[in-house]
Amino acid sequence: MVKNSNQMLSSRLSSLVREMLGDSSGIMAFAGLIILIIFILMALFAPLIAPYSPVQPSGNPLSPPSWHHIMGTDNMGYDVFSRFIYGSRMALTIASVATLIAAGIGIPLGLVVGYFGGALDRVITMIMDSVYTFPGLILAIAIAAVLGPGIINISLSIAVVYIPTYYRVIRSQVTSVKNELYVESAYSIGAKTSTIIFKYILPNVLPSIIVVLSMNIADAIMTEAGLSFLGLGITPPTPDWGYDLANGQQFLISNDWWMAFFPGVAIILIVLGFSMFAEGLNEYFNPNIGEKR
Amino acid sequence: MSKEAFLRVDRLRKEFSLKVPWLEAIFKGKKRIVKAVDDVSFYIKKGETLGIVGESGSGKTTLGRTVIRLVEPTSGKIVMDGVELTKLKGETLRRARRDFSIIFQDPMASLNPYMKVGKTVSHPLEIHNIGTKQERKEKILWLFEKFNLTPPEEFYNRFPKHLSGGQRQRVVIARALITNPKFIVADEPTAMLDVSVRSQILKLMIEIKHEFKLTYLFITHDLASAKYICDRIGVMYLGKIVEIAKKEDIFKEPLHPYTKILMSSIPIPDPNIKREKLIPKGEIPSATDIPRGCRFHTRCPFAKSICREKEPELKDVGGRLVACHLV
Amino acid sequence: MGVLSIKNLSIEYKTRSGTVRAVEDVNFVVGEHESLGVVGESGCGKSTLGTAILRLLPPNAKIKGEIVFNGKNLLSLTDEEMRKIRGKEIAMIFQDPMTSLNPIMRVRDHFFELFKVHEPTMKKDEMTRLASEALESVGTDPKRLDNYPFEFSGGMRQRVMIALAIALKPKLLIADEPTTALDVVVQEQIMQVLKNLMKTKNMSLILITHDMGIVAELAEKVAVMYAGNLVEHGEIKQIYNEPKHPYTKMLLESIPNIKLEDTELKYIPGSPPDLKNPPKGCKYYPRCPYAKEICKIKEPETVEMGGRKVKCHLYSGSGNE
Repeated sequence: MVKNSNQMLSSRLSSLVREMLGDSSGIMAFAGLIILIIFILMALFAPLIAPYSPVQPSGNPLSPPSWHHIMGTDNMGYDVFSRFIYGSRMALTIASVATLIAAGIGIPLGLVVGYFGGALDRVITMIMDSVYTFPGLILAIAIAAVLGPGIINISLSIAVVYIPTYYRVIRSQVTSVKNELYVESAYSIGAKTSTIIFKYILPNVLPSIIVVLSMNIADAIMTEAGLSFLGLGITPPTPDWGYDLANGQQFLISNDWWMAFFPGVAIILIVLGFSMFAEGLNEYFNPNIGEKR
Repeated sequence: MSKEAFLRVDRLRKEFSLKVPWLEAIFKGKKRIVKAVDDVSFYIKKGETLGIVGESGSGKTTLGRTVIRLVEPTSGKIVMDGVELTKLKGETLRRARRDFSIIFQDPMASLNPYMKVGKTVSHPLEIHNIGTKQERKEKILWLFEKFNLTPPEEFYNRFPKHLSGGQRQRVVIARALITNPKFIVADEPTAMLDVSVRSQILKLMIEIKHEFKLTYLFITHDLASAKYICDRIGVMYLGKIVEIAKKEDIFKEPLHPYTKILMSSIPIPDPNIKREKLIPKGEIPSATDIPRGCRFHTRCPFAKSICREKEPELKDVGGRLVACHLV
Repeated sequence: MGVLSIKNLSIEYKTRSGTVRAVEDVNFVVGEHESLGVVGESGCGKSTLGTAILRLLPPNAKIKGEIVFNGKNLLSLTDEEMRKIRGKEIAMIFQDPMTSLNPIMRVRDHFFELFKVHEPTMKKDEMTRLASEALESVGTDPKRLDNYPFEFSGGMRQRVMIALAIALKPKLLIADEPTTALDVVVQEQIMQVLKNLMKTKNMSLILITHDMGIVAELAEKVAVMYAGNLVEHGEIKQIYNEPKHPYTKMLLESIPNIKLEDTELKYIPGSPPDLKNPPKGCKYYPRCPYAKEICKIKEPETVEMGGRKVKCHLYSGSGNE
């Protein structure tokens, strides 16, 4: 019995994969996924991949890319490549924690408010809309300035910016799903309100979140890089792309390009990966009907 | 009204108020109210199938939902098997739901897309704490076998999207039956199924009615299906029952003009038969603006002046009830 | 050769999970002033067929064969030539009248838009006259030209749709489930409208529906479709009184008829085949009580018998092999 369901699952997955690869949006999602996997592996196995320690000088400062230091060294003599690799940890950790906190607050709030509606709905939606209209980076800066540095604080500042997104998406989905016949059926068989919300409504609104999550992490990485760039993020010498980008800026004028370039590329690539994944999935599961006749 | 009535509905009303643009509210003052179910009374004997037929806007769907309090009645009394349903509240009402259920029109929409079909059918048993896990599964497998959802083990683990329309509706019926209810409301249960599958569902419903000693309220616009499955039929128009009689009587000799028109409108799948069609005048009035007097008088080919002034009551005519001045 | 001639028509849809064979090798002719009912259940291909005649299928559809109208193969015309035909020579009405009309345009403007496309030189008076005439022939007061769609009920909107369709006096009207979304009394009113039009206008009608009742009332000939195939085609009384194809037989037996006293209702067990992976041989084989060995292996040929066509091994003589 167990073997059977495992076989069913794996065969369904492989046919899904095959179908996706036959479609341009599916290919994009896949390409994005591959980029992500590379970065995640990079973060997980950093100590094994990085040739040097990212926080100990390992060469002459400001030396250009060479065989010993394929991305060169920075002004403190740290190996840029090793910082490139370790930087993925910071980016992924903060972005994931921030996204998890945001989702962890936004989703339950959206569920409850969407189901019960009424005055609660009006008040909370008003609050959420106000937060939502704030430009994300500015809000994050404001909160980070108040909370101070540190991984948890930075994650919190970023999380606040994204709570309204989850809230809105879940709430609007819940508002439509709660009128579906299968929810009415659940009510008619005598299910309790909590059962209806968690067993009938939640599984049907969660899929819409996957795309949001992915886009969110991409955005969070950018915001974190931005905060660090402005000096509100992690404390040096922790490897962080945003910080290194800021730090490397000043040397561009003397043609020492590698210190700003590689962290910049890292940010671009990982955001690209998440975006392609999210967009590809979204396009694949909700294709646009905008075709020419 | 029979003393052995299983279900008795007394003066049931359900009104919806529509949002009116504020300018209109100030100048016209009146709130716009839709009287979906307007003072409806009837009874159903134990083991009987009462059909409620009518077109869209008749209120039949609202009636079905209100009788089992899926929609809260505005006023009126509902007594089912001795229990005054309208007086139950909160937890007691929730627990009472094991004794009655509803089958909806759209089989796909009635099933949670993320719940396996076996779990969907066993959920009512879980909610009302009936049986052990093993007993529940056995009961469901037995029911699936009976409903031709074979092999039952395989169906147990499937998701609704992998079933055909007819199969889905059978799952819905299984869920409606699983707690051994006494009463089932069927709201257009075959309207969205293929023609060749409808009769399968109707036959199944008849079979389980006898086997599980059920009482049905069968709501439909399809008079042909109603003739097949119902014992008595009530005809609804704009929120009121205009005629209610034994099935044979309604089909042989409809008394109310609206019933007559309905009967003559049913397409007959036989090209050899040519019929005189009775066509009503005009369109069905808006539910917010119900005509004074007899609500059908605006379209009735036989309307007289009294019809415009006084609303007819349901009165006994040779063993059945008709609401018409001319009968 | 009649108004419309369908020759070896096959239509496939390319989807992510495979190719759907929606219509397979369909042949029939619609004569002048003839009303044909195309019946079948969900997935039989009847709607695809109707939509294909006006070349309104989505871009992922592949069509093979010929659709000959007035001597020309519609499939070989350019987009421009096809546009001249839609609405003027061949018109179509659809199932849902609630969403078919533009809510911000008056009825009058709907007509004017139509006329502007086909007769750009027509003057306003002439347009109004034609529009009023069209509304009258569907039993609607011409004064309602100035109304907006929301002022009409479902039945009235469908009448407006029909008026728009026949305004330019097309030779062929295709009605795809015109009354499915309507109540039975309104349905009857629309049927009367169509019946009237058939009497007074020189027009052919293709009525696509799953309702065997309205076909019996309105059509002279009927074509029965199953899983993309045309399984039986003939005159209405012929087919209803003496159905030859097992599917037609079982379909008729599964419909409740209020004029018959308590007869035993039959149903067809199982469900239609997956059109992405259709079985070899006759598509109806798994559900057919008369099935033979050959039905599993070979697709039946269409046979002419007594003025009708049947696609079944029982009649093609090859059943004896």
